[in-house]
Amino acid sequence: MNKTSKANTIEILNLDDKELLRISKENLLSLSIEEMKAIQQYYKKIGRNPTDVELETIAQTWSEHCKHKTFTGIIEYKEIQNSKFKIKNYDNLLKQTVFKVTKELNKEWCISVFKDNAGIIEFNKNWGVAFKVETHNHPSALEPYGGAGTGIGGVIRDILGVGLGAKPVLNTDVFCFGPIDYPYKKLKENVLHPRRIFKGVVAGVRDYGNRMGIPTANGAVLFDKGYVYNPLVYCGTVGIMPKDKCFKKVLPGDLILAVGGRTGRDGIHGATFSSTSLDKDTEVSAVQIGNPIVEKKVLDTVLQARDKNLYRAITDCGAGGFSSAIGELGANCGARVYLERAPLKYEGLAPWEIWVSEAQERMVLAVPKKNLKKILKIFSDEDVEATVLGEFTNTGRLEIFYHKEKVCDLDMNFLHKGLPRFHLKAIWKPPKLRKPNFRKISKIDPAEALKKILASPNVCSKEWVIRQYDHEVQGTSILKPLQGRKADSPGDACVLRPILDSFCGIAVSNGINPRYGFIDPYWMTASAIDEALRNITCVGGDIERTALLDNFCWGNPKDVKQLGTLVRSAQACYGIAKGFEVPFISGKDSLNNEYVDEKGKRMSIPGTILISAISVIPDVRKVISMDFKKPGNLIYIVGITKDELGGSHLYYEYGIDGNSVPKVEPISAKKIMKSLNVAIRSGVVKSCHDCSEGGLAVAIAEMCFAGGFGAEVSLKNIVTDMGRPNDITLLFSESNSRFIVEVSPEKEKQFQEIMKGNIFSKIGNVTNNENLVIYGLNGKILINENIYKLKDAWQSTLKNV
Amino acid sequence: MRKYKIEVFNKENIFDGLAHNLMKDIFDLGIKSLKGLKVSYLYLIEGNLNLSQIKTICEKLLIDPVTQEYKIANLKHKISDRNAHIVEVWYKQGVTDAVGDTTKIGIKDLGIEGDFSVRTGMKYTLVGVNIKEAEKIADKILANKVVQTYKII
Repeated sequence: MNKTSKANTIEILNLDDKELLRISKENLLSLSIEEMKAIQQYYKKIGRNPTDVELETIAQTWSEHCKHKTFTGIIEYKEIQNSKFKIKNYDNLLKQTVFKVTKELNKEWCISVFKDNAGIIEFNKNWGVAFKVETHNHPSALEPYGGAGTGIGGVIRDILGVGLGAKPVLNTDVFCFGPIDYPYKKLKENVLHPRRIFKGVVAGVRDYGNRMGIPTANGAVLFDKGYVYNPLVYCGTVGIMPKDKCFKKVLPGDLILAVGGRTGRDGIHGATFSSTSLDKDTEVSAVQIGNPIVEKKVLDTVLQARDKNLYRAITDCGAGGFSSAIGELGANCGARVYLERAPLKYEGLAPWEIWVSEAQERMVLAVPKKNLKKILKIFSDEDVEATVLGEFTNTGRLEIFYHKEKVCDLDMNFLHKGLPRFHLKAIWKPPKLRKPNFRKISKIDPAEALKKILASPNVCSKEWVIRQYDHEVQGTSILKPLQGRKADSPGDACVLRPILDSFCGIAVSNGINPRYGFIDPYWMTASAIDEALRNITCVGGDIERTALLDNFCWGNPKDVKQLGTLVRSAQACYGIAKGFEVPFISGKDSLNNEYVDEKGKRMSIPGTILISAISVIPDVRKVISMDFKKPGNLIYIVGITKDELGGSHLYYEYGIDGNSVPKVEPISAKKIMKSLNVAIRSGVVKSCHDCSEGGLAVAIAEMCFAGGFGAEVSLKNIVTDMGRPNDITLLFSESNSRFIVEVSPEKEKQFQEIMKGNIFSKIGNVTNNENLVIYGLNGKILINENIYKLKDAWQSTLKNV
Repeated sequence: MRKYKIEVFNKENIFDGLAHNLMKDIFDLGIKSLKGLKVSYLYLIEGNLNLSQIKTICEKLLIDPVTQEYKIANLKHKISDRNAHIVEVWYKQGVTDAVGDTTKIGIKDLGIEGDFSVRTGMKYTLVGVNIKEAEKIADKILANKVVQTYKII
């Protein structure tokens, strides 16, 4: 668009399809032909051409980022399995899967779900807790430090902008990168090396989170060659808020108050930009640069104003800037804005640029006129800029003025509901993977495989990352990300106590495993849900007080196969979460994560779902860590071990294919988790660890070196459904819903009593030496390794990045 | 209107973690000829400030007196070592310079009034590499052309 500081009219009334598309493309609007035609129709009816401000407003509001057009569109889904067809049509995938679970479960402790900037659940009598996870993938691919920093900055503002504002108490971060040893020669022009993206992203999150004074205590880092061109950066924030501050309501006559950073040209077109794929010439005014010090001041002052009840509504300026924030707050009444009042970083911005800029650290408030003086004083006392931009009206229109000239006059109803719906086709067919090569498997040396998996980038210690984050600020940590005798071993979930005069706490965990998705995205999603819930269970959380968040990162939804895998993943969200009776409270999708090279070849990420779980813990004094506590204690495995090595770490390390991806039976899994929760809460369990990535061998090795004790374990008593079980499968199968549990001999009876009706068996005991000894089915020693050597293998991979 | 270019760097014998990590990245890039790397932070202050005010700003605000020192540099570098290349990295026009903005507030908090602007950058002195290698290092590691520009001296 024109960059003069004046609004321009854009001729669209008499354009044909080709020219309409050209307008969309030239101005980076990312609007489809159907959408451009709907806009043309609207302007034909009112008999004039749009201004650039109007066109930009519509483009931002209708962007994939803001409206989730794929998920809410009409999808024709076809499934082909064993040459049988199954057809299902979706008239809003989101409503028919993820939302549906929550609606059907109708938990009374869910306060606000899927309608605000974050989901809110009940914490205790007086408090609610809000959780949101966002992605910032495209910006982080181009400028890792700024992209990741503003990613965390943005999700913090989501929490500050939920209801009437929550206080952030925890950040979480999950990253997917290309392999850090990816050959430089193979990289395309202008693509940053995975190692550089990795370091930049970690530094960005570190600098923003630490400077905001918010602990970062949960996360994950994954590496796969599918993420070389499109890294994934998930940022989440948990906040705590008084229960009577969970809802907002704008009234006509309220003033529109912009608070925080100034507006500049940075971050223009972020929302529409996220609706397209990257290529080597991607326009980059879209990159935002963050300033955590400004955001910290905004946070502190807004919470003061909240507690004095000085405003009626608040939201953050995220994607789409003022256009989205004011457009959303005024959606049900109307708004009048005077753009020239917005404080600018420098002169020369066109009105449309001011309106859609995604400059960081800005919030928009609806303030009753009588409170203006008081609220302005709070901000000016702390040197925070606050400016009245206009007011909310009862006209049902969005009216924008720039130096007395009317530059936008849009019907709110058209703006928010005039969007034509997507019609998409989706196909899913199971991939044909080769059967595993049993000769290759029989040659695997168990001890070597264990060390290999411990050292593999996805399992190995992430201490180098975790130590850069402050996880102690605010003084609330109960279970830290690194646990064990030397505080350097992998915890399952973090637990914090956000209100220091109460023993009530919050546990947060996540589940993600894109490699299962190569076989079946349904079971990938099921496994991610099971993993997140397992992690909560391990530390002592009750899954009946647990809520989930979904974050889909996928490739191009116009590709029928890609969309097929996405539908299948969403189906699992419904099926599995319903089985567990755990609701979703918030979520987000990031599509078009693909790179188009100079020959037009499309490279897409593996469809990846992150499931985050949050659980309210009634008494944090009952939580347990994952390290073995005492020699002589007994080791139990809970849950059934199946022949499920498809997509496993073992197969990946040895280059073996396989189709038997781990499945989930939510009904029996829920029963296990409930019983185990009772056992942990009554104090009969000394330690508990998630038996997943790398299977039983990895889980026990981690518990050993975390506690500084050895263990003797036999595979003989493991309960399995295999007709002819073998050592390798028992050691490394990644069957879901399994736990390794340490119980003292005195409490054994009580433990068995509580666990009755579930599958569990005793497999060994903790020893007073430094060796992990595992006996095979025939009674011979399979593994006999020094635990500190195993720890070395686990620690060395990312020690000196 | 005066222009001051200030360079802040670690004192001799103080471990420079940033330089250490960058050297590792440069080796990983496949450039093994690098003998040494020195990192300095650059501040370009333009406006009606006098030299004694600038000195106050350097001593009270820009350096950590225990580990760092500064010099008010010439606008043009002189290179004494033939085997060294200097890479200077600056933000592009229009890109928010958060450190620069905060420095400006810091200067005002010191009680120094006046009309001035602050921009920040980085200076890397690479020893032992040739000009082509220096370019490669700047492209791949030191600067991100999306938001920054660099020049090699």
